[in-house]
Amino acid sequence: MAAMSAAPGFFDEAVDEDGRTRDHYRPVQEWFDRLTLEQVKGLEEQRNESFRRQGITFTVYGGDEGTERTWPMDLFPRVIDAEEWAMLERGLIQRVTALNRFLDDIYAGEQAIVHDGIVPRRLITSCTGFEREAMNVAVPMGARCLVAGIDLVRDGDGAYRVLEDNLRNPSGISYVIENRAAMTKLLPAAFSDLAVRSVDHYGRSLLRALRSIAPPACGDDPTVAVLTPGIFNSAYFEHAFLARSMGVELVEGRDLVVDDHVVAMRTTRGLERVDVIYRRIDDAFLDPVVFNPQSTLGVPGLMAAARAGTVSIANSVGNGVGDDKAVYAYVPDMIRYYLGEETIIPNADTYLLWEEDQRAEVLERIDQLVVKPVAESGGYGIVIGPKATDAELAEARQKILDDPRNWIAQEVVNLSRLPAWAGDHFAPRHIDLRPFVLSGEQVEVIPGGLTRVALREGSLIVNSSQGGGSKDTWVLGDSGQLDQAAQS
Amino acid sequence: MLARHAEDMFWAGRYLERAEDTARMVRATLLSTVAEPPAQAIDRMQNLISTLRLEVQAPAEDVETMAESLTPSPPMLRSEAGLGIDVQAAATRLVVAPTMAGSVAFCIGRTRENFRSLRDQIPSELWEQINEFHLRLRQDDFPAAMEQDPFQTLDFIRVSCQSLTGVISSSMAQGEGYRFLVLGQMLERALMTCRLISVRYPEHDGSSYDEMALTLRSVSALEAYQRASQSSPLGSDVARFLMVNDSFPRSVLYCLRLSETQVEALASNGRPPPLQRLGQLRSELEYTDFDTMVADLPRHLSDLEAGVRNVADLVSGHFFRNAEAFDLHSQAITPGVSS
Amino acid sequence: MRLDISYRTRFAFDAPVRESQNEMRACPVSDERQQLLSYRVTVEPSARMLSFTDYWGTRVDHFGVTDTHTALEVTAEASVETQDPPPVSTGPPLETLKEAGFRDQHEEFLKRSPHTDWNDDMAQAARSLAEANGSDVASVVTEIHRFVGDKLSYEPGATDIGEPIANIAAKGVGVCQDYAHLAVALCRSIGIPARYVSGYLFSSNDRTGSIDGDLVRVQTHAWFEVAIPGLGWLPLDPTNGLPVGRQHVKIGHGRDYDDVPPLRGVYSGPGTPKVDASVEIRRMDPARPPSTPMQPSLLRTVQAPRTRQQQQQQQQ
Repeated sequence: MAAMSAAPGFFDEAVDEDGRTRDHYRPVQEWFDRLTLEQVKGLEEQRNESFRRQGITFTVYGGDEGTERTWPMDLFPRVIDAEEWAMLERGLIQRVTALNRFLDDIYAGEQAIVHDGIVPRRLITSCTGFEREAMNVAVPMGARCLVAGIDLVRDGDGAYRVLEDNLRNPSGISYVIENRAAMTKLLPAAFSDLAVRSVDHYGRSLLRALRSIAPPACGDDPTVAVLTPGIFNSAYFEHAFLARSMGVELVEGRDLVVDDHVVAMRTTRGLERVDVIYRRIDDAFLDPVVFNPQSTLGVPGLMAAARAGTVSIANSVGNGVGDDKAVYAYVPDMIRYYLGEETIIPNADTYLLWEEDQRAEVLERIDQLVVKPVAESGGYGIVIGPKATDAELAEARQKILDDPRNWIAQEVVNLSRLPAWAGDHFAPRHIDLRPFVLSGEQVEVIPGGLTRVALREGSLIVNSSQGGGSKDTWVLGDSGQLDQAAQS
Repeated sequence: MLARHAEDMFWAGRYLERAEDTARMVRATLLSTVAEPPAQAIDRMQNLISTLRLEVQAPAEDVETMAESLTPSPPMLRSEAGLGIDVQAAATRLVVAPTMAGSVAFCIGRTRENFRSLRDQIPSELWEQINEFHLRLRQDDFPAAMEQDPFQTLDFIRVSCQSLTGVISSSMAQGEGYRFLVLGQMLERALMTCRLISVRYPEHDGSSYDEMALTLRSVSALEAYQRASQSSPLGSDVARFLMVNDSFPRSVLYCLRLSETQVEALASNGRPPPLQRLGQLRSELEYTDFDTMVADLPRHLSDLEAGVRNVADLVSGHFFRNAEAFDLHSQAITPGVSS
Repeated sequence: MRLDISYRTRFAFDAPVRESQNEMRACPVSDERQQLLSYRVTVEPSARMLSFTDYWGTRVDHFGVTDTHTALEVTAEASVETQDPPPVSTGPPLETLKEAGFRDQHEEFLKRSPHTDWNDDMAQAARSLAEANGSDVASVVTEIHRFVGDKLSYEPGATDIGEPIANIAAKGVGVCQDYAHLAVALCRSIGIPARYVSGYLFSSNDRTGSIDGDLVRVQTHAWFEVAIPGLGWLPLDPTNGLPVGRQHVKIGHGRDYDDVPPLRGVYSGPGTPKVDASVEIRRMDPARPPSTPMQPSLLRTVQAPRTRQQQQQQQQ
């Protein structure tokens, strides 16, 4: 069905420079080559129906109101071979370990990295995500990024780079698991041919990580709950999914109460103590006593309970200081400082706009660069120089001059490409990858992650909120052996 | 289980039951008006509205809770009868008006809202069905269908409600959530039956077969009654059947017994207040001589109704107390100013 | 000066409330100018306290009352020994403010904050003051201090805590925290790091700072501090135009009021509170010889003409 040709400037995941299918894609490519147009359309139909029936949707905001769409999963999977994955896994563990150390140093330590002059003090104090209210709130084992989503891309040479870190409430893992479940039903034959590493142990791994950060005093059987803003939140589907896959209660703020600095759920049998909260509510809404006093989503007194050490909150409050995009530029320094190692997966080339010389260069070349606000996620506020109008560039320049600390600039990364279904044929589309990393007693990477794909031809925007889709991501096991993790 | 979820289950049960009961009563009433002169038909419809304690044209903004819709309202259909709204139109409003508290569409909407927050606790089949049912009631052509073929439409509603109840009993784990749902259904059903008898009983004076048949049909009890009593119905016999028959699932006694079973299972220890009150109500009904009761039926019925309401309040106070409305205020002291 | 402070806040609700969660910042800090001798917080209905030091170095006492209640009373009692700070005559030249290390250390006290969001007019006024008053930081700050005292007239109840500082500057009225916020905003607008201070003032009159007696009943007070390169933080009280001295007891500082509110919290339920807050400060080492009878001095305090602020209090 599909023919791919190598294009200059972009790295093609599935084919090499000579247009030959790469080894690890060969079974997949052959499998898709055998499908007729009708068969592909049939699979598409089957997938849509299945997602619709299960209510696997996401909400798109913009315009007048949010609209619910079924989850756009492209049939052609992304494949990562064992060796490549081993490198990524090492790189991700290294990065998240350093970020955990950094956050713990800032909030519960001596801020040694500041005193030793590795990062300037103002880098920390100027972060919008730096929560002074979380100062000196301890987190067992310093597992502050309990769930991290690290966005990776491949540049024109095929080298992986970290584009951004998501350490607050990274979402998307439910789609990784639903994508796999759908693909297993749609293409069962493909899975019997290849040793694809399993992802469906995520719920167990997450629960294990959450229980590992329980307050030491709560005993062997800590109670975990998922805290959601409620059914109107765009990621509610994922919150419910996670609670279900861990077998724990999905609670809203109003279900919890703090009594003598202990958090409890309101149940039909009275109050029941909660030891660990996996919260999917932003810091600002978590506790109206110390944050936004108007918030009714949170739990009054929660921060005091965390400070008293009777409850653990994941991800930790104030992680925004770790995924601020200006702080991102210092992650390689953190890795060197805390771990004494060189960075395995490098950053994209980044300019800090509060540095006068870097700002001058960026303002000159703004039409060739990508400009991003430091504290946003989900692709909001990004200006892509080569695709922007003169008016947009002028506006971006002004914004940078008004508040240079709020912006960074990066060289355009020519995201790698992979075939995706374009209505009647497969055509190359740009992709990225968000692997999920869990921190508990140890740091663990879920094989693969969420591959996002820009479904519009030539587009580099992969966010599902902006017309992006997703792909199942297959990490191949070593020498065709079934992965042990799948059985554990 | 979370108090909030339990409360949602309880109310889902109440709303679902109310939707079904309303549809049954509307159907029976419409059926008996078919061959009647308009004035009599309007009386009959007015009678139904009193049973449901509704105001047919309740303004949308006033619609808040079911409790509000239960307050008795002035007989407004009559005052506007012949001028504004005819029997068929009133029946249609009772079924389709989405914002009128107590209409079938309203109750199903509320059932769905309650289930929506419980999606993780209920079988997906149940969610899919309530969703589909809700959407059908809200479709543009639904009022027209109700106008043109009310009986078929009302049958559709009854069957849909029954099939929801079927899914609940066949595919839902019979844990706490299930019990709260059944408890809500049973208490609501007991209330509806009490109300039906109190409104319909005066109409039984002439012991007209048609009148009593209408009462029985309103709760789909005609066939069961005939099998049970063999004789042609007497007013007091019908009331007795609907109140204390121990095997007919819409009799007040039956509903109280089933409610008691649920609360017994839900109570973690001892006999909490709702269980005590239920036991008291049930034994009064069981052991009071019915002929004595009939002598002052209106008072007994209103006591009974108040008792059932009290049980619902006690259930809420005992099990959902913790889920009271979250009503947050902030307070702060500023320097230099005393308040 | 040895001062005993009793800070009492009483909430009387007109309907039952529950699940109240509160944080109090009322404890005098120990620093080079004052020493805390004792501190105690009591809450009625009784509640367990969680006490900690926050990011800014201020002691926080957190407590919750879960059960239904219609009144809540919090009392903080402190004993503190205070001194006058060493006088600052001249400071370093303005250029020293631009030093990168100095700016890096004080980044958060140089930026706008919700209550110190200055406008162009304010920045212009601050620039003019700086240009007209020589080149050293201390004199510019002193000038801003004086300017704020002239700009605002003291009027309790004329402003709300959420009101933008630019509005307050335009209206020309306010209470102590408005004076402090305005001074902080003006300093920051010309690159002088400044912070807001919450505390107690041993004086029967915030506006004049006069001391007439050994016992005063007042409210909590606010002033500000500026960072002078090489010298540290210089405290100033713009409400009464006085330098900060022995009669000032500092609780803590922050970017603005939001970082050091004396008491903040939430509760659930239909009730609305009537709040009664008062500070009682007693001087324990009276300036007069001990032979001076205690009684007349007390009487004098009570009979002293009421300030507008106290009248306001009476009406509530």
